[in-house]
Amino acid sequence: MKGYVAVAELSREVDSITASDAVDAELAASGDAHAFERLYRNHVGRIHNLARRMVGPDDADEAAQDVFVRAWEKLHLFRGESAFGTWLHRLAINVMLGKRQTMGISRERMHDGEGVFETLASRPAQTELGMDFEVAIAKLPEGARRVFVLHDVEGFKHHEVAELLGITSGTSKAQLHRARMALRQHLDR
Amino acid sequence: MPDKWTELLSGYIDDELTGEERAQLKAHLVECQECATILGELRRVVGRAAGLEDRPPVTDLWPDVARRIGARVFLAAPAPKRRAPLWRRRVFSLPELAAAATVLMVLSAGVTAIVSTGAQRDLGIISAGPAADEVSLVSNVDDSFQDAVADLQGVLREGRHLLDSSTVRLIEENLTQIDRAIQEAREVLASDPASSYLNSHLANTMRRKLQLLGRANELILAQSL
Repeated sequence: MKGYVAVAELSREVDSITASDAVDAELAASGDAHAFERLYRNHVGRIHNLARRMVGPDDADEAAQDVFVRAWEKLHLFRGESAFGTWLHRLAINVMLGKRQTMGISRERMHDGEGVFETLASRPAQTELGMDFEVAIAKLPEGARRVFVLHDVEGFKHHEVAELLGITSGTSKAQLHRARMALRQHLDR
Repeated sequence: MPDKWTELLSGYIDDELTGEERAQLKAHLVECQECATILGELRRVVGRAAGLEDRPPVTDLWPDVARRIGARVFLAAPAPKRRAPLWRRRVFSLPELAAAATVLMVLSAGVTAIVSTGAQRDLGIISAGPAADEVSLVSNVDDSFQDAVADLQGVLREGRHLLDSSTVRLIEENLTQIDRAIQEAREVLASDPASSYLNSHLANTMRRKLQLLGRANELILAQSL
């Protein structure tokens, strides 16, 4: 039995070390679509989740596809200075933010949504207490949702969020606080 | 409800308050149960956000991605030079690649046979104890594996200057760890040579080494074009 445990541990170790994104990125940059598919398989989960939270579930599939198509086009710019996943993640955010802009959603929306905040912040009815936390995030006004996702889910600092979204750090902090205050009503009880 | 205290709670959680603001809020929290409750809830929100689990997309997006990049590649580069089969690239004289591919197939087939035989024995279909032909097969496969590895590593040595140092380092680190995994798997297998699971694991680990070396060789060839 000890041998099986040791082998299982070895198997996990080998699985992790052979996921060599850097090599696949080099191959994909030279036109190897199979290498690019391996990169896609390794990262699609995280990218799709980011898309679902940033642009909403209805547009998530298309946004995630756009990210990988853009990545294919930009692979020659990947220098391996950071992990491929980090590079792809940053690219994904830019693609998704650009997508919203091309859809004609202006930054003024960052200050809209009072009604949504009031709806979210009101105590939910008993039947809604189990409301999925992600659904509640999706119902936030766009500006607050993007700040919340970037800061609290993705781990960016306020100055980074501000740079990405073209807002001030103060606006980022204010939007984050409003989002958190609204979402606290939808925690599991 | 927004007041000067609740407005400070997120900054408190994120450690963004000045020392004076923090001290004043801490003193307030001792006296104000409502603010203390809200602070606890906000912390739970932050915790939930950090712990959200990733879910894969319901449908596989790859076919559409492949179609889109395929169309773009075709339009941008109609000449299929970059996609030519490796054996048609003559920048390197590398019959080792073809040999290695053959060996990989032999290795896979051999291991399948071993595992199949081992599994039958596990089920009591075959009496315990490795048969002579089975030992011979293991030996032959191992020899072929070592030959293929030697060939592929020769190509890697020859072409490593074409790769980024970070890529070379990554490949070498992975090879070192795979070698260690192979060695440990052999040691574990020595105590239970009839185990189909252990045989399969060793074969898979050996196959991973060939795959990694093969991919490294592909990369060298791609860089040399």
